[in-house]
Amino acid sequence: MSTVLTRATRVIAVAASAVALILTIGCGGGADAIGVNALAADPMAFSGTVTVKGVVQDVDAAGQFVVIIDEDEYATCGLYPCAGAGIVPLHVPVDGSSSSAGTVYSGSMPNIEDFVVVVGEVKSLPQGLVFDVHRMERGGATLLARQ
Amino acid sequence: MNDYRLVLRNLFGSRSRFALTLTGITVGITALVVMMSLGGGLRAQIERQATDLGANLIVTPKGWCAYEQVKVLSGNQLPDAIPPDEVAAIEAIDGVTVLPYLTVGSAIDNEPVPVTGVRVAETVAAKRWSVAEGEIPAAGEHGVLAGAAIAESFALAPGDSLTLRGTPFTVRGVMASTGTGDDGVLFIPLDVAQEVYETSGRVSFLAVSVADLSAVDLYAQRITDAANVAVISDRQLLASVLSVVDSVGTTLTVIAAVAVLTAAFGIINTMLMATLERRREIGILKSLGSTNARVFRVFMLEAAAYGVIGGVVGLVVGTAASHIITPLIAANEFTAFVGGARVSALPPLSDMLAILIGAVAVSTASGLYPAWRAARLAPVEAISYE
Repeated sequence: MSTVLTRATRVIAVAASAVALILTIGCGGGADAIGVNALAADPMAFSGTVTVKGVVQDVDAAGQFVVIIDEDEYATCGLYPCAGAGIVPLHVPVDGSSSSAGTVYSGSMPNIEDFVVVVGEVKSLPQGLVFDVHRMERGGATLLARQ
Repeated sequence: MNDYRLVLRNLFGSRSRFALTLTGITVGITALVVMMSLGGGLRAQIERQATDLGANLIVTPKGWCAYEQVKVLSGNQLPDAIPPDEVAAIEAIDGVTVLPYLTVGSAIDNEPVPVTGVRVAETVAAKRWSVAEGEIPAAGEHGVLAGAAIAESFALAPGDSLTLRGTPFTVRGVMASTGTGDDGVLFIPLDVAQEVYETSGRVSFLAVSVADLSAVDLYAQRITDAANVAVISDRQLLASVLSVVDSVGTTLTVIAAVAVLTAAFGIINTMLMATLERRREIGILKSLGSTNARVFRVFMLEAAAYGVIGGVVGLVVGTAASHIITPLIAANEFTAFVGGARVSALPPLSDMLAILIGAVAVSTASGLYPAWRAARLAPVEAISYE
């Protein structure tokens, strides 16, 4: 029953999102935000400050990492999209410790399945490419931000 | 005075009220035409893209969501999940021609762009593309064949440099417009795409043409026997995608229909006001021998006139608005995702006629109660009303 409801909810979410997208062109902030799939396909292609919109797939128990997936993938495939879909881990510790990019954050972690907008930039570090988060928003309100 | 002259006199007696009431139904009909235009345009665009795919069968990884099937037609990024050994097994089947696609992405000026790895020469021939400028890149070459729309958007021309996944590429050619989503894609050689995007030889999906169209089901069975994949015919794919688009189109039409219904209540209000204001006139008409039926008919004709005039004006304004508004809406993420920028298609003439008949029917129905109220008035009571 819960699986049927969840599937039905996602179908409704897709149709409603499609209608909302068509009817709200240009409305509100985040009009230039990119999806997680786009960022994950070629992170090095993005320079400077980038706004990414996604859905929270996971928040680790230690409150250090947030993993986001593409909104459209979530709408049709749920929290676990097909293999190869974009998944972006964000190191945003709010416990006072520094992220891998040396950033300290204040605020609170999102919940799983939250729709978030993340502003940051792609940085190349010795351990690889990371997305250095400047701030994370949920519903227009700032959830966490760098100090 | 005959009924029609009476109707016209009553309609234009209060011009501001006539204009406001007419505006209501005109706006509703305009919204209906624009929404139907968008829905019909999306459908036409998807049908065209399915035809232009040039494949009888689409081979995808098992367990794909419907969303991924939609993206087969749009050229957007897809998971790379069909391994090279399965591609080879399918290509070994007699009577099939296989075109593999690896749909990935990149960005130009921080704007996401779709990138697709294909066997360029074979794909150009199979899909009958023509190159407007330059030439097609060879296999193994770090060259790009740009779609017409994306080349225009980013002012790409042969000789220009691009960087994809940190690797320098050169624009080798620009395609002529195909009118499909392919216009918005950068095409690169498949082997280069697999290397640059580190897919270990995997591809996103296969477009398969068969030698004998009457044996499509047999070929589909052979493919699933040879590889652990899912096979869908181009018609099945089209139906699957259209089921999503049609539901969106229906939703848009319902929203516009609500606007028309709202206008109907405006007509009811106007006609009830007219009944109240013209009580003396109704009483005089009845005193002079007019029957209840005639009074009823006059009011119904007035209501129907709103539908006719509002419907015609709404169709004209809606047609003009479709040409202006629909392309703007089509620049939206969703419509670009399913079909690209060109999704404006006016509803067919039969639908336009149905809209007009519907407008008249709704308006006429709106006049029923006020007309009944007017017809029931007793002459003496009506004449003495002040």
